Amino acid sequence: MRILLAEDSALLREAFTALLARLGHEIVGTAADADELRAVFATTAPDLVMTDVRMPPDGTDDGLRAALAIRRARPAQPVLVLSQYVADHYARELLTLPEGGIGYLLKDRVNRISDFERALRTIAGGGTVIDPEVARHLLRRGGPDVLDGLTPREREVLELMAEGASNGDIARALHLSDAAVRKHVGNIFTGLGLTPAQENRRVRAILLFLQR
Amino acid sequence: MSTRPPSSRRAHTVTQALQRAPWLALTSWWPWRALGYLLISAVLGPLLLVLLPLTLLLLPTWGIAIGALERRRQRLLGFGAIETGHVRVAREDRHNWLNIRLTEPATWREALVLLLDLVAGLFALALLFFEAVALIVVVGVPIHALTRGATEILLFGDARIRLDAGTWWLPPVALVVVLIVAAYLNLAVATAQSLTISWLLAPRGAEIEQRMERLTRSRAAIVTAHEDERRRIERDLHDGVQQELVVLATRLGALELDLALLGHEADPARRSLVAAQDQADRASAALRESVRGIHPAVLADRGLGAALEELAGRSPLRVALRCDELGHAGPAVEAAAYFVVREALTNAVKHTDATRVDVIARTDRASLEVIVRDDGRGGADPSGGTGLTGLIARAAALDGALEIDSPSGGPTTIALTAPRGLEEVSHAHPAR
Repeated sequence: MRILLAEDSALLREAFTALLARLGHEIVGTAADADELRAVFATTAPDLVMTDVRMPPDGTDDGLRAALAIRRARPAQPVLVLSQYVADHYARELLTLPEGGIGYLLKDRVNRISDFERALRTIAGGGTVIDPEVARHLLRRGGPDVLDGLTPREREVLELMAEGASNGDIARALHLSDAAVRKHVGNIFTGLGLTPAQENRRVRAILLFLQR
Repeated sequence: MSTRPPSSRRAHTVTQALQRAPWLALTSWWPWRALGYLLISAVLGPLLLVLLPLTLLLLPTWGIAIGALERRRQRLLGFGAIETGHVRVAREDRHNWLNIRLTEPATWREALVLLLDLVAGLFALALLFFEAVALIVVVGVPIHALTRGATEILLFGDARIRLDAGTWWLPPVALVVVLIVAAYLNLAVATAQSLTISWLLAPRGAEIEQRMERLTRSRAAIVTAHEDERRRIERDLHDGVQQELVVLATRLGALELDLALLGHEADPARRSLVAAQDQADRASAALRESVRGIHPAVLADRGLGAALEELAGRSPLRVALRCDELGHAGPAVEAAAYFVVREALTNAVKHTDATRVDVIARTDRASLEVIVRDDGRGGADPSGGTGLTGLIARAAALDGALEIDSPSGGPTTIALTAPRGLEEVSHAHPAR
């Protein structure tokens, strides 16, 4: 995968570059601030843009704003936004983008590299990955009214789905059979009045539904 | 003053002493204090008489010194110290001290006090001189008569008094009369001088208002500085230890890749790795939580609305958030509002059995208002050592108010209103 990495800390830029290289990805460009990110993006065609949220010049959410600008310019461009803190507000802003191919994760998630690698592939493939810490809040914010119709087990499955877990992940986490998970997922979708969407679009579908 | 419990008969100021029966007034210490007051006047008067012509240009400075002295001398007569009419000069304005003072009416009133002290001091000197002469006469003459035998005193005209065995009562009576007259004269003159001075020195209404305004501004400045400091700490943690933890996470990730190459042989090591990953997750989560308690990043980046959304998302309660009429406010005010809601939500979870909380945040032209209302059983007590006490003080420092209404049985409503404080925004948010 060809990745454009924007990160203002040289230390982290090097650490991420080394790790991504070990995963077999190619770093096609790096940027140390939001302006550089836009400039480098204009000259490269990465499969994935990975950007920090807090970056110069303003030192607030410049990276996120740059990511949103990139998406407006090229709507299908997969973007992964990384940060040392997560905020529901930022997740909701990313979820309002019309297409998938969005990720919003804590930087610390790289410590489970196989999960992280799976997230990279999901995002590059047009899926959505939202950090569990945020996804849980978004689910809860959706309001118990909506979720009242679900059984406790279905709610557990829903939480894991919102975090981007696959059916296999859910089966392992809850010690269920794959068939049981598929049944629960089906019940959740009909319970929420959704049509069974594509596997990699379901996080987005669920979270968007709950934000209504 | 007296350490004994006050009684109604006991005078606490020289004016009260003057209104008491003479035997009470004369046997108290007030005549002695009045005498002390006049002695100081009598020293000051001649001193100023010499000093002033030599250093006329320093009149305001001497006035300020006299003002400071007089504010304290009041206590000698039982009056409370007089408030200063001057504004406080901040440390960084020290070099401008004289310029500031020269523009203040209080300084010129103090110059008047100085001139008054000059005249009154000379008057006090004369008064004390005559009292001393009278005393020497009524004591000295009878002693002279005792040692020399009968003495005739020539009064005005041809009236004479003859001191001998038949008129032995005359000297003691004369002494008592002189003492009483002197005591009352001293009391009256000292009181008159002191009251005139205190009238001149007392701060005028406008000066008090001006000082109140400065005080309010400096309190708000402290809160703002405090908030800036917290934001700086948050940045330090973000660029320091949090970043180190991310680097640690990349190392753990790399280790996971290394172990994957080794196959099943590495299973025990992999278990250790998972434990390390869990531990690193907990460390990061705990640190993020602490940082959020110091100064939430979202608050600085996106303002109060986004930060409240974050709080609502993290609360285990059903939180209905309404921010449609919320505009920008100063960073210190937004931070206060954030921590009020945070504390209110925590209290609702811990103490009130609430299931649902309504949070309304809105601004109008001049102020920010945040209302948190839960459906719990109430009984929240700000004096009960909760964080609400500190928040009440914080609101007050921002010239706002935090009101807590929590009758037993509920519901609890906590409302913060504060001026928006937008004049501080420009320097605190250079980027926005």
